[in-house]
Amino acid sequence: MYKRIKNSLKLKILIPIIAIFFSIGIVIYIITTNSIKTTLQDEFISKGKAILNTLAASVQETILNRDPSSVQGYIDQYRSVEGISFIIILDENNNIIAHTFYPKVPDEYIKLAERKDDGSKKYSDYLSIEEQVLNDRRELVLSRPILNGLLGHIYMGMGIEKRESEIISPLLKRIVIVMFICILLTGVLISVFLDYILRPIHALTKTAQRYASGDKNIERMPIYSGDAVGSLTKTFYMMIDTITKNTVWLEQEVKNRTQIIKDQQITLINASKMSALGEMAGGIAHEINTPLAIISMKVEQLKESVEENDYTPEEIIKSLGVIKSTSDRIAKIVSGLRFFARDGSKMPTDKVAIDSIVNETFSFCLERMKLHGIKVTVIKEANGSELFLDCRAVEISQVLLNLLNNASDAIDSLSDKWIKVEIRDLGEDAEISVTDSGTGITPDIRDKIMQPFFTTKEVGKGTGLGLSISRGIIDSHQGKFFIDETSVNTKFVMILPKSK
Amino acid sequence: MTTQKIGLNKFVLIVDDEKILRDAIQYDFEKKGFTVLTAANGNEAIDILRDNHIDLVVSDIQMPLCDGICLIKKMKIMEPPFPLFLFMSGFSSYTQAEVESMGAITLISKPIDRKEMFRIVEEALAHA
Repeated sequence: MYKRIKNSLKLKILIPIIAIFFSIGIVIYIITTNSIKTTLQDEFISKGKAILNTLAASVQETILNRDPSSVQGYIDQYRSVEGISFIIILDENNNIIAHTFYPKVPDEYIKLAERKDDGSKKYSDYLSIEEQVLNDRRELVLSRPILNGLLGHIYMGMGIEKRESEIISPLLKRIVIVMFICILLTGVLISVFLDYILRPIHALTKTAQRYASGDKNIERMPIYSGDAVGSLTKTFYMMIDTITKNTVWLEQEVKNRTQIIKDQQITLINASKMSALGEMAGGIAHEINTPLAIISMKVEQLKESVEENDYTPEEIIKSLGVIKSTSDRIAKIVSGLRFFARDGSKMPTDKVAIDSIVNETFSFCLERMKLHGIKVTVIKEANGSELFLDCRAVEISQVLLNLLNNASDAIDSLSDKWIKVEIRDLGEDAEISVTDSGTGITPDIRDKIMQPFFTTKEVGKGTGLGLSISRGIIDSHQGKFFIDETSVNTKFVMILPKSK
Repeated sequence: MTTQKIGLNKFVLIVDDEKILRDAIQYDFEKKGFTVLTAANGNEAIDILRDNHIDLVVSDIQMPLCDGICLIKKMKIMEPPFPLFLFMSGFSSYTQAEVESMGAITLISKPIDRKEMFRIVEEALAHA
């Protein structure tokens, strides 16, 4: 009900009007009934006075003659007189001589007679008028002494309430009917009038709704009037014009800004790649230098052995085998670097096995892990060589490398150092996760960690871009990149759609 | 390379995490008459140094668990005598001057110039 009132303008206007009519009705009723009551009382009093006087004069003689049956005869004549409800006649000793009750006077009325007994009313012109509730009804009780009270008193009750209700209840009925007709008429008038006023507003609402739902070519209604509704309509069209103009401008602005952001992202990705490369440079140099040192030394030793003629064919074959396998090691690192030399963001996606991404990435960080005494394990729940992604492998490798480097930095000072890379097949998607022996990311920085330029590393060591760019890369692959909060250890997860 | 036995009765400890390289260096030192012991990192080297008399330590800088710097620091707090100490490294942020201030003879770079290495070793042994 409340909701209906809230949503209906008609009800909002009608309800106060009904309330006003209702109040007016009540006021009219109160004023009219009061004046009716007063008039009625005056009328009853004058009528009663006349009857009492006549009665007093008539019964004097019969009382003196001690003829109660004649007294009864007199008052019986008044039984049928309109308005009179009872008459009691008392003698000078307050004994009831005659009355109009049948068969006897109720106690309530006897008490009424007794109460009246005091010396002040023993004058023939004295008239006592009192309103009493007798037998649950309001009665106007009039009384006067007979022959200065020497012969007793007459009491007469007039049924004022009965008469009042006879006059007032049809009046009340009439007031209610008039009120009802007024309310009904007003309702119909307001309804019709409001419909007339609201019609253009409803039309305007419909237009606004169509505009809001994206219909740019809305039909413009003619503006009929110069009143508030007309000016609302005019303002609405002006607003639409402004919005349309602003929308065009905004769309262009968003396009421009998006392009700027895209350009900046590419720059950032490249910058972070350079930073990652810088961080790796030491590791790569060491990685290449060690096998180079082996080959160089082996070749020199071999040369000497041949020069000194101090060799067996087995020794030579063994040394050459070492040289071959060691140069393969270098070749692998170089092929890994080639992976990084390209600008990934402009490359099309390729179908690449997860295994090859993981292995290429490991080729330039395993040495660093080993140096830091970190145990790296790969857990393949799925066969990584049969799990393919449509991706830019360079970028995915960059993300993985970033996670591995972060992990190794984070656990460097711990006594238990390990990193676990897990590969899982999730059906539609594939999951690659990196878990380290750290105890997770504290909740206070968990939200900030993916923000650009947030870093916990010391100045100069981290750019604070790694994770934000990683997330950007995974997003651009329609994947998910997040911290696994359920893991006891620090665990970063990337979920990427599998190649179809 | 001359096969002059400069290392007779001398004990050398070669510390490198790369086994093939360690073996190759060992081969050269044995040819020179040294008695060679080997270790894969600083911690293993300390264990050997504790039980053996060593004249010369040839150590890589970058190694897991306890690297060359860690090794030389640990050796400093061991009972004397402090053996001759030669650093080798492929790619290190330490300079020759820095390692010399730590008490090492010097730093030779990888790939190793073997002639240069044995010249330095011979000279150091002569002065010891």
